[in-house]
Amino acid sequence: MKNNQFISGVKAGSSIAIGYFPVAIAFGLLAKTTGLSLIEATAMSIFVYAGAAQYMALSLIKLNVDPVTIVINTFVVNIRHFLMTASLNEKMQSAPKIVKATYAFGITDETFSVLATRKEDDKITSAFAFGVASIAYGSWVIFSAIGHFVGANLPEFLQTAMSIALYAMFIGLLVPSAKGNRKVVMLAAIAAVIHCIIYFTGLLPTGWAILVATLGSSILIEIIYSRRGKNPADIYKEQEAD
Amino acid sequence: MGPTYWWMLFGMAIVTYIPRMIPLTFMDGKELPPIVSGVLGNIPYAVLGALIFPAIFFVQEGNILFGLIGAATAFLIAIIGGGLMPVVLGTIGVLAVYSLFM
Repeated sequence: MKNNQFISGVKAGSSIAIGYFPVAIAFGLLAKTTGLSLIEATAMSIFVYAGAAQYMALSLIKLNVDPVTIVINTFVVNIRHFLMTASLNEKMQSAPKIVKATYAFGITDETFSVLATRKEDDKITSAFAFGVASIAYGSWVIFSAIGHFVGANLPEFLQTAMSIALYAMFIGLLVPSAKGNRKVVMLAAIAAVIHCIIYFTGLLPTGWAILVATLGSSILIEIIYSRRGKNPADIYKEQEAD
Repeated sequence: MGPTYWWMLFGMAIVTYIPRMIPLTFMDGKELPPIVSGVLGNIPYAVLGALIFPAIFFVQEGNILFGLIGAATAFLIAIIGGGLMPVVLGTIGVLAVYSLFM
């Protein structure tokens, strides 16, 4: 029974594993162009295991941001997982703390989505969660390493061109969410404007500038939208405009 | 990179694991105030904006055109509905041609 749950978890997680393939390969490539060794890059995937945070770390390493600021930025980017695991908690079968603490390591945006959207009435078993987490994690780590390995064997002009890959990836992540969603567009635009202002006035070092821009935009936009939300007529207008 | 890298990795691992582990292991489903969960939900999109601009223009030192072409290409492919991989590979492709002929 327990085995069956694990296997069906692996099946449910295999679509995540396929989705991770290009993102992990690209991470390995980028880590290579950022100057990380194969071991260093793979270790980040093994121990940190968070796509967005790992990409951000690469871009901050490239900008020579100090390690403490990188860790703080990592925390800020990962705060959202508090939300996800808190809401997931209600759907999960009760289990010893050590079991939950173990599969908690495998909760990402994607595994969360697969677990949280399960339509079954029964609670999700720990074995199922382990199944989903294992295949997704395995895919992430293995393809990160392969990506780095491939990147090491490319000609010079391609490596130059690949210096854009990190930012192309950020754009590729942002645009689909931003399409038809003005809030997402505003969030990214305001954060970009705040960062540009801080950058060109030299007010703060880069790592802190990104932190301030991110939190500033997130808070500002939330205040604006929650004020609007209090007036039902405005929400309607918003929907019509979209 | 050296030992500093490994300390940084250790720190990153801790601050990534804590938000995953604490609520799942120790909380009993307490709700956050809506404004707080709203702000937390906004962070992934805001951080992308801050990461892309203005750094994308300075990818190749002293050559803003490189970054401009890259940004335009990536946005174009993403807007016409290319997935993550077409956006990344397409942008690299265009800039590879550009750097070959520069």
